[in-house]
Amino acid sequence: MRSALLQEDRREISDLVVRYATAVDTGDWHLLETCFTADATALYGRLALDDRDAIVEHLRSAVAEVDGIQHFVTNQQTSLDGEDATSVSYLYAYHGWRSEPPRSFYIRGGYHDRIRRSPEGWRIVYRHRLEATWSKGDRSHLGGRAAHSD
Amino acid sequence: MTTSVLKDRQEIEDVLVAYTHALDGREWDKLAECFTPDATTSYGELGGSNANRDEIVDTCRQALEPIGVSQHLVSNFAIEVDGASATAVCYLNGFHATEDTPGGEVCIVYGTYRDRLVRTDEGWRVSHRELEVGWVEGNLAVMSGATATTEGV
Repeated sequence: MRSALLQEDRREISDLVVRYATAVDTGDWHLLETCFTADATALYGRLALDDRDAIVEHLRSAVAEVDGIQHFVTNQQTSLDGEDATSVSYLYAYHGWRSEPPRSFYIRGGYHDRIRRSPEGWRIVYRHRLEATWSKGDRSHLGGRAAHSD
Repeated sequence: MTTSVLKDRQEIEDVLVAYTHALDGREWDKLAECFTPDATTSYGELGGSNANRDEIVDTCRQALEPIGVSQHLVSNFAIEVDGASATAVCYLNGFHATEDTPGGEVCIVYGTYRDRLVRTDEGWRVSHRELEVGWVEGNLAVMSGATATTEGV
Protein backbone atom coordinates (compact mmCIF):
# COMPACT_ATOMS: atom_id res chain seq x y z
CA MET A 1 0.00 0.00 0.00
CA ARG A 2 1.47 3.34 -0.99
CA SER A 3 1.69 6.04 1.67
CA ALA A 4 1.68 9.07 -0.62
CA LEU A 5 1.04 10.09 -4.18
CA LEU A 6 4.22 10.40 -6.21
CA GLN A 7 4.98 13.51 -8.25
CA GLU A 8 4.12 11.62 -11.43
CA ASP A 9 0.76 10.60 -9.94
CA ARG A 10 0.02 14.26 -9.10
CA ARG A 11 0.99 15.27 -12.65
CA GLU A 12 -1.16 12.53 -14.23
CA ILE A 13 -4.17 13.37 -12.07
CA SER A 14 -3.80 17.05 -12.93
CA ASP A 15 -3.57 16.11 -16.63
CA LEU A 16 -6.71 14.00 -16.24
CA VAL A 17 -8.99 16.81 -15.05
CA VAL A 18 -7.58 19.10 -17.73
CA ARG A 19 -8.17 16.41 -20.37
CA TYR A 20 -11.83 16.20 -19.33
CA ALA A 21 -12.25 19.94 -19.80
CA THR A 22 -10.44 19.84 -23.14
CA ALA A 23 -12.69 17.01 -24.32
CA VAL A 24 -15.92 18.83 -23.43
CA ASP A 25 -14.68 22.18 -24.78
CA THR A 26 -13.60 20.67 -28.13
CA GLY A 27 -16.47 18.19 -28.47
CA ASP A 28 -14.07 15.22 -28.48
CA TRP A 29 -16.29 12.50 -27.07
CA HIS A 30 -13.77 9.68 -27.55
CA LEU A 31 -11.29 11.71 -25.51
CA LEU A 32 -13.95 12.24 -22.87
CA GLU A 33 -14.46 8.45 -22.61
CA THR A 34 -10.78 8.02 -21.80
CA CYS A 35 -11.22 10.10 -18.66
CA PHE A 36 -13.51 7.53 -17.00
CA THR A 37 -13.38 3.88 -16.00
CA ALA A 38 -15.89 1.69 -17.82
CA ASP A 39 -17.96 1.38 -14.61
CA ALA A 40 -17.78 5.08 -13.70
CA THR A 41 -20.83 6.87 -12.29
CA ALA A 42 -21.51 10.53 -11.68
CA LEU A 43 -23.75 13.10 -10.04
CA TYR A 44 -24.10 16.37 -11.95
CA GLY A 45 -25.99 18.76 -9.70
CA ARG A 46 -28.96 16.61 -8.77
CA LEU A 47 -28.75 14.38 -11.85
CA ALA A 48 -27.40 10.85 -11.28
CA LEU A 49 -25.66 9.20 -14.24
CA ASP A 50 -25.31 5.44 -14.00
CA ASP A 51 -22.50 4.55 -16.39
CA ARG A 52 -19.85 6.00 -18.65
CA ASP A 53 -22.12 6.10 -21.69
CA ALA A 54 -24.72 8.08 -19.73
CA ILE A 55 -22.05 10.56 -18.57
CA VAL A 56 -20.68 11.11 -22.07
CA GLU A 57 -24.16 11.42 -23.59
CA HIS A 58 -25.27 13.92 -20.93
CA LEU A 59 -22.32 16.20 -21.66
CA ARG A 60 -22.52 15.75 -25.43
CA SER A 61 -26.20 16.68 -25.55
CA ALA A 62 -25.77 19.56 -23.08
CA VAL A 63 -23.19 21.43 -25.16
CA ALA A 64 -23.98 20.30 -28.72
CA GLU A 65 -25.51 23.66 -29.68
CA VAL A 66 -23.21 25.91 -27.65
CA ASP A 67 -21.07 28.29 -29.73
CA GLY A 68 -18.50 29.42 -27.18
CA ILE A 69 -17.49 27.21 -24.28
CA GLN A 70 -14.68 27.16 -21.77
CA HIS A 71 -14.29 25.05 -18.64
CA PHE A 72 -11.73 26.52 -16.29
CA VAL A 73 -10.62 23.84 -13.82
CA THR A 74 -8.36 25.17 -11.09
CA ASN A 75 -7.47 25.03 -7.38
CA GLN A 76 -6.95 21.28 -7.41
CA GLN A 77 -6.38 19.45 -4.11
CA THR A 78 -5.38 15.80 -4.43
CA SER A 79 -4.93 13.16 -1.76
CA LEU A 80 -4.46 9.42 -1.46
CA ASP A 81 -7.47 7.44 -0.21
CA GLY A 82 -6.53 3.79 0.15
CA GLU A 83 -5.55 2.66 -3.34
CA ASP A 84 -7.60 5.45 -4.95
CA ALA A 85 -7.07 9.20 -5.02
CA THR A 86 -9.55 11.96 -4.34
CA SER A 87 -9.43 15.24 -6.19
CA VAL A 88 -11.28 18.43 -5.33
CA SER A 89 -11.16 21.21 -7.90
CA TYR A 90 -12.87 24.50 -8.71
CA LEU A 91 -14.92 25.01 -11.86
CA TYR A 92 -15.89 28.08 -13.83
CA ALA A 93 -17.77 27.01 -16.97
CA TYR A 94 -18.86 29.62 -19.49
CA HIS A 95 -21.29 28.94 -22.35
CA GLY A 96 -22.20 31.47 -25.05
CA TRP A 97 -24.57 31.47 -28.02
CA ARG A 98 -24.32 33.55 -31.19
CA SER A 99 -27.98 34.37 -31.14
CA GLU A 100 -29.86 37.63 -31.58
CA PRO A 101 -29.55 38.92 -28.90
CA PRO A 102 -26.46 36.99 -27.73
CA ARG A 103 -27.03 34.63 -24.82
CA SER A 104 -24.76 33.20 -22.16
CA PHE A 105 -24.84 30.97 -19.13
CA TYR A 106 -22.10 30.42 -16.57
CA ILE A 107 -21.73 28.26 -13.54
CA ARG A 108 -19.20 28.51 -10.75
CA GLY A 109 -18.77 25.40 -8.67
CA GLY A 110 -16.46 22.44 -8.31
CA TYR A 111 -15.80 18.76 -8.72
CA HIS A 112 -15.26 16.06 -6.11
CA ASP A 113 -13.72 13.07 -7.84
CA ARG A 114 -12.71 9.57 -6.87
CA ILE A 115 -9.89 8.51 -9.15
CA ARG A 116 -8.63 4.99 -9.67
CA ARG A 117 -5.36 3.62 -11.00
CA SER A 118 -6.19 1.49 -14.04
CA PRO A 119 -3.92 -0.32 -16.54
CA GLU A 120 -4.43 2.70 -18.85
CA GLY A 121 -3.52 5.18 -16.13
CA TRP A 122 -5.53 7.19 -13.61
CA ARG A 123 -9.24 7.38 -14.46
CA ILE A 124 -12.29 8.94 -12.80
CA VAL A 125 -14.46 6.24 -11.20
CA TYR A 126 -16.91 8.72 -9.61
CA ARG A 127 -17.41 12.40 -10.39
CA HIS A 128 -19.62 14.69 -8.37
CA ARG A 129 -20.06 17.97 -10.18
CA LEU A 130 -21.24 19.96 -7.16
CA GLU A 131 -24.40 22.01 -7.25
CA ALA A 132 -23.49 25.51 -8.37
CA THR A 133 -22.00 28.01 -5.94
CA TRP A 134 -23.47 30.57 -8.35
CA SER A 135 -24.84 30.59 -11.83
CA LYS A 136 -26.06 33.30 -14.14
CA GLY A 137 -27.81 33.51 -17.45
CA ASP A 138 -30.18 31.41 -19.47
CA ARG A 139 -29.56 27.68 -19.12
CA SER A 140 -32.59 26.75 -21.21
CA HIS A 141 -30.47 26.66 -24.38
CA LEU A 142 -28.24 23.90 -23.07
CA GLY A 143 -29.35 20.55 -24.48
CA GLY A 144 -30.76 17.42 -22.94
CA ARG A 145 -31.63 17.42 -19.27
CA ALA A 146 -29.17 20.25 -18.56
CA ALA A 147 -31.70 22.73 -19.99
CA HIS A 148 -34.18 22.28 -17.18
CA SER A 149 -32.34 22.21 -13.91
CA ASP A 150 -28.99 21.71 -12.26
CA MET B 1 15.08 21.49 -12.66
CA THR B 2 15.90 19.03 -9.89
CA THR B 3 13.43 16.55 -8.36
CA SER B 4 13.51 18.40 -5.04
CA VAL B 5 12.69 21.74 -6.68
CA LEU B 6 9.76 20.12 -8.52
CA LYS B 7 8.53 18.76 -5.20
CA ASP B 8 8.95 22.20 -3.57
CA ARG B 9 7.00 23.86 -6.39
CA GLN B 10 4.16 21.35 -6.01
CA GLU B 11 4.04 21.85 -2.25
CA ILE B 12 4.07 25.62 -2.63
CA GLU B 13 1.23 25.47 -5.14
CA ASP B 14 -0.63 23.20 -2.69
CA VAL B 15 -0.32 25.83 0.07
CA LEU B 16 -1.58 28.62 -2.19
CA VAL B 17 -4.54 26.44 -3.21
CA ALA B 18 -5.19 25.40 0.42
CA TYR B 19 -5.54 29.12 1.25
CA THR B 20 -8.37 29.48 -1.25
CA HIS B 21 -10.26 26.40 -0.06
CA ALA B 22 -9.95 27.57 3.56
CA LEU B 23 -11.11 31.10 2.66
CA ASP B 24 -14.05 29.92 0.54
CA GLY B 25 -14.97 27.22 3.06
CA ARG B 26 -14.71 29.77 5.91
CA GLU B 27 -12.30 27.41 7.72
CA TRP B 28 -10.17 29.80 9.74
CA ASP B 29 -7.91 27.22 11.42
CA LYS B 30 -6.98 25.86 8.01
CA LEU B 31 -6.36 29.40 6.75
CA ALA B 32 -3.94 30.01 9.63
CA GLU B 33 -1.98 26.88 8.63
CA CYS B 34 -0.96 28.53 5.36
CA PHE B 35 1.07 31.23 7.13
CA THR B 36 4.05 31.53 9.46
CA PRO B 37 3.14 33.02 12.88
CA ASP B 38 4.87 36.29 12.00
CA ALA B 39 3.56 36.49 8.42
CA THR B 40 2.57 39.88 7.04
CA THR B 41 0.19 40.94 4.30
CA SER B 42 -0.60 43.94 2.19
CA TYR B 43 -4.04 43.65 0.58
CA GLY B 44 -4.38 47.22 -0.67
CA GLU B 45 -7.83 48.76 -0.57
CA LEU B 46 -9.43 45.39 0.13
CA GLY B 47 -7.85 44.72 3.51
CA GLY B 48 -4.98 47.01 4.31
CA SER B 49 -1.90 45.59 6.03
CA ASN B 50 -1.55 42.91 8.68
CA ALA B 51 1.45 42.39 10.96
CA ASN B 52 1.03 38.74 12.02
CA ARG B 53 -0.97 35.58 11.39
CA ASP B 54 -3.70 36.31 13.93
CA GLU B 55 -4.35 39.68 12.29
CA ILE B 56 -4.39 38.09 8.84
CA VAL B 57 -6.99 35.52 9.86
CA ASP B 58 -9.08 38.20 11.62
CA THR B 59 -9.05 40.44 8.57
CA CYS B 60 -10.02 37.62 6.23
CA ARG B 61 -12.74 36.45 8.60
CA GLN B 62 -14.29 39.90 8.97
CA ALA B 63 -14.14 40.42 5.22
CA LEU B 64 -15.59 37.07 4.14
CA GLU B 65 -18.11 36.10 6.80
CA PRO B 66 -20.74 38.67 5.75
CA ILE B 67 -20.46 37.57 2.12
CA GLY B 68 -22.87 34.88 0.90
CA VAL B 69 -20.56 32.81 -1.30
CA SER B 70 -17.08 33.25 -2.69
CA GLN B 71 -14.79 31.47 -5.12
CA HIS B 72 -11.13 32.48 -5.25
CA LEU B 73 -9.79 30.92 -8.44
CA VAL B 74 -5.99 30.91 -8.67
CA SER B 75 -3.96 29.98 -11.72
CA ASN B 76 -0.97 31.02 -13.86
CA PHE B 77 1.54 30.10 -11.17
CA ALA B 78 5.11 31.34 -11.39
CA ILE B 79 7.11 29.85 -8.52
CA GLU B 80 10.84 30.23 -7.92
CA VAL B 81 12.60 28.24 -5.23
CA ASP B 82 15.92 29.21 -3.70
CA GLY B 83 16.85 26.67 -1.03
CA ALA B 84 14.53 27.15 1.94
CA SER B 85 12.82 30.27 0.60
CA ALA B 86 10.71 30.95 -2.45
CA THR B 87 8.67 33.54 -4.30
CA ALA B 88 5.34 32.85 -5.93
CA VAL B 89 3.12 34.85 -8.23
CA CYS B 90 -0.34 33.75 -9.33
CA TYR B 91 -3.49 35.21 -10.84
CA LEU B 92 -6.61 35.63 -8.75
CA ASN B 93 -10.18 35.70 -9.98
CA GLY B 94 -11.94 36.48 -6.73
CA PHE B 95 -15.70 36.00 -7.06
CA HIS B 96 -17.99 37.25 -4.27
CA ALA B 97 -21.78 37.19 -4.27
CA THR B 98 -24.51 37.95 -1.76
CA GLU B 99 -28.15 37.62 -2.76
CA ASP B 100 -30.36 40.70 -2.53
CA THR B 101 -27.50 43.22 -2.30
CA PRO B 102 -28.87 46.59 -3.44
CA GLY B 103 -27.04 47.69 -6.56
CA GLY B 104 -25.98 44.21 -7.60
CA GLU B 105 -25.28 40.78 -6.11
CA VAL B 106 -21.81 40.12 -7.54
CA CYS B 107 -18.33 41.62 -7.14
CA ILE B 108 -15.31 40.11 -8.90
CA VAL B 109 -11.72 41.05 -8.06
CA TYR B 110 -9.16 40.51 -10.81
CA GLY B 111 -5.77 40.51 -9.18
CA THR B 112 -2.33 39.07 -8.64
CA TYR B 113 -0.93 37.52 -5.47
CA ARG B 114 2.79 38.04 -4.90
CA ASP B 115 4.13 35.91 -2.07
CA ARG B 116 7.29 35.06 -0.21
CA LEU B 117 7.39 31.61 1.36
CA VAL B 118 9.73 29.74 3.69
CA ARG B 119 10.20 26.02 4.28
CA THR B 120 9.41 25.19 7.92
CA ASP B 121 9.23 21.92 9.88
CA GLU B 122 5.51 21.84 9.00
CA GLY B 123 6.18 22.41 5.31
CA TRP B 124 6.14 25.51 3.12
CA ARG B 125 4.37 28.54 4.60
CA VAL B 126 3.60 32.05 3.33
CA SER B 127 5.72 34.63 5.16
CA HIS B 128 4.51 37.65 3.19
CA ARG B 129 1.59 38.13 0.81
CA GLU B 130 0.61 41.06 -1.35
CA LEU B 131 -2.59 41.35 -3.32
CA GLU B 132 -2.32 43.64 -6.30
CA VAL B 133 -5.85 44.52 -7.46
CA GLY B 134 -5.89 45.01 -11.23
CA TRP B 135 -9.63 45.46 -11.75
CA VAL B 136 -12.90 45.21 -9.86
CA GLU B 137 -16.15 44.36 -11.63
CA GLY B 138 -19.61 44.64 -10.17
CA ASN B 139 -20.89 46.05 -6.92
CA LEU B 140 -18.27 46.99 -4.30
CA ALA B 141 -21.01 47.01 -1.68
CA VAL B 142 -20.87 43.18 -1.78
CA MET B 143 -17.30 43.40 -0.41
CA SER B 144 -18.42 45.45 2.58
CA GLY B 145 -21.19 43.01 3.34
CA ALA B 146 -24.06 45.40 2.69
CA THR B 147 -27.35 43.60 2.18
CA ALA B 148 -30.99 44.54 1.91
CA THR B 149 -31.30 43.98 5.66
CA THR B 150 -28.21 45.89 6.79
CA GLU B 151 -28.32 48.84 4.42
CA GLY B 152 -29.12 52.06 6.18
CA VAL B 153 -28.05 50.70 9.56
